[in-house]
Amino acid sequence: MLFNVARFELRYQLRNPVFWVSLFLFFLLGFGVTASENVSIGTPGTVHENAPFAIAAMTGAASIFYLFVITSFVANAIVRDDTTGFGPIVKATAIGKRNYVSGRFLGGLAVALLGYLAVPFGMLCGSMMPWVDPETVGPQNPVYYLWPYLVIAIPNILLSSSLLFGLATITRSMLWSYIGVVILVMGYLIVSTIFGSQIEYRQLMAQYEPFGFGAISEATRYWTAADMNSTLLPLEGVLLFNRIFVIALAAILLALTYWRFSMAERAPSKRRLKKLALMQNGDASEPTPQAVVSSAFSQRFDSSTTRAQFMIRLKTEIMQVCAVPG
Amino acid sequence: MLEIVGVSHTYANGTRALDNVSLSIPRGMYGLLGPNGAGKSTLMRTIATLQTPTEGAITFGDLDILAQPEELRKKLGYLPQDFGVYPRVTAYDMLEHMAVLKGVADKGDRKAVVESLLNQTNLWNHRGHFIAGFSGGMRQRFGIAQALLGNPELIIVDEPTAGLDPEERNRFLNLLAGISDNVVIILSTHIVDDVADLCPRMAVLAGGKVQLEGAPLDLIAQTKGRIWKKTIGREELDAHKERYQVISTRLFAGRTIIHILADSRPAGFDDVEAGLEDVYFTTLADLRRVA
Repeated sequence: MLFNVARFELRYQLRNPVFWVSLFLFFLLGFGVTASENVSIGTPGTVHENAPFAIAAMTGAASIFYLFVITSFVANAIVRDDTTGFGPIVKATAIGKRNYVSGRFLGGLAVALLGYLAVPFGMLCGSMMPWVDPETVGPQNPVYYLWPYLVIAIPNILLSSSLLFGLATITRSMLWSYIGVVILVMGYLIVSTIFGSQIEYRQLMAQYEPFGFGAISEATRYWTAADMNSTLLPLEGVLLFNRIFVIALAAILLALTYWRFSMAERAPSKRRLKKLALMQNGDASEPTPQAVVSSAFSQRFDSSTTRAQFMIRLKTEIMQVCAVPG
Repeated sequence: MLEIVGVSHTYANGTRALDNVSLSIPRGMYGLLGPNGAGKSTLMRTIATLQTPTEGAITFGDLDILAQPEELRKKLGYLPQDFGVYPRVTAYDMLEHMAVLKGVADKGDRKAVVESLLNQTNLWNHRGHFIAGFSGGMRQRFGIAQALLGNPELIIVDEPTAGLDPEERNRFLNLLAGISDNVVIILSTHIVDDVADLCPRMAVLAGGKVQLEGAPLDLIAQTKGRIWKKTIGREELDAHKERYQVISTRLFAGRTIIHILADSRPAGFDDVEAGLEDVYFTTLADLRRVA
């Protein structure tokens, strides 16, 4: 059943236009980096457009932007039941918590991983464009594309997916998941900018920075341009430590999410019930409405009505946006 | 078969939706009648293991459903009140997926079961269409199709006919009537005729409490000789309400027909063949008088 749930999720998301739009955008992102001489990600001039180092750097960098897309796949997988109103039907079946949570997650993760293939594929296509100076392109080797995908992209996307899946499970809202992502990305950028520039935190950043940039720059600190053009990232030392840390963190987040998730809506706690009982005792008498409807009021349709109509719509819209987040 | 003992539920916002509800529900069709906001859906959701009550016990056969919700879900068919559906999924695919969730593991079985249900609910010609584009009646029929999947022993249908046109409603009730008598079917509704048409046993739920329980025919017999009707003009209504215990008012061709409760026939009133609606309205009228 787990397999079937995951497969349904995968097939469902493949019909989602968001998937195809993101596929296109991330293809363009990869394509642009290799097809244009003006765009590069942290590589010196003599490094090839399709050098294994350049591909690894891009694979890592794009995974930050990919967080926003993942929200749509992974958070949707769990929030969809609440937003569409189909949830009660699914939750009343014998699906079981294990199949429900892990099937949805695995399906969403598979879509996310599949969609991210657009980045290396875009880089490959970009570097083969006729207008790219052949001097700046090295030999094509599929391993140069697959290795960073395996070592950098998969753990990064696993962590991002676990995080968003957890966020969506707890908040039960797409909007809050998006807000969570924005806060996380901002926080990440601030923290990594502050600490990344300081030498005494370099080792710490390399070990625990979740997207692996610290680890990559630590592992390749003394590389020459020739190394960058020909050497795969060595999965050892600080990079290996960082990747294992990222996967472990993802596992912890998933375990927490699983623990927090409940198939049935729990009854309010005893303490809450006592508090409610206390509150209800203090009820004051309600005002009574005017019983008789007077037909003496008048209706007008002039410029002051238009103004009043505009103002009340404006007020309602503002209240809707401010007071109901999602 | 299904025993509900002392079930109460208070929501986190303080609403007391169920107040010490006890019911004993045998096999066959059971009607749960009540006005909007009576707590019917809360009770249905609680029996369907979608929420845990603050107090009480529910057993199905030997099964304690609060302790082992997973076990009940294996035998349950549930059609919730106003459910939604996923966008971009066809009726066939969704039903096939539901069959997997209901434990129909074999691919061939699944195909057979899904096709026969689509046929039974008259959705065969729409099997390739997205459910999100279905009309209300079609969506309800899809809902009952998924509820019937996998031979459930307990079927809960919550307000299934609300919002259906008379023809769709008939079609839907016929579907329900075709289900085997060995199954416990709980039909929750605010439409008296649904219960009158289908259910050999029923209860009235209002204000979170069970107000009345029994067989519709017995309940109707109890009101015999106590319900009277009169056709009056609109302006006389208030005066009649003051003098008599009016249980229902209905308009017919611009005149008002009132039904009242009295132990002997007051002057000017006629006999009336009491129906389940009179029983229901008498119960609600009693409740309002107490309040």
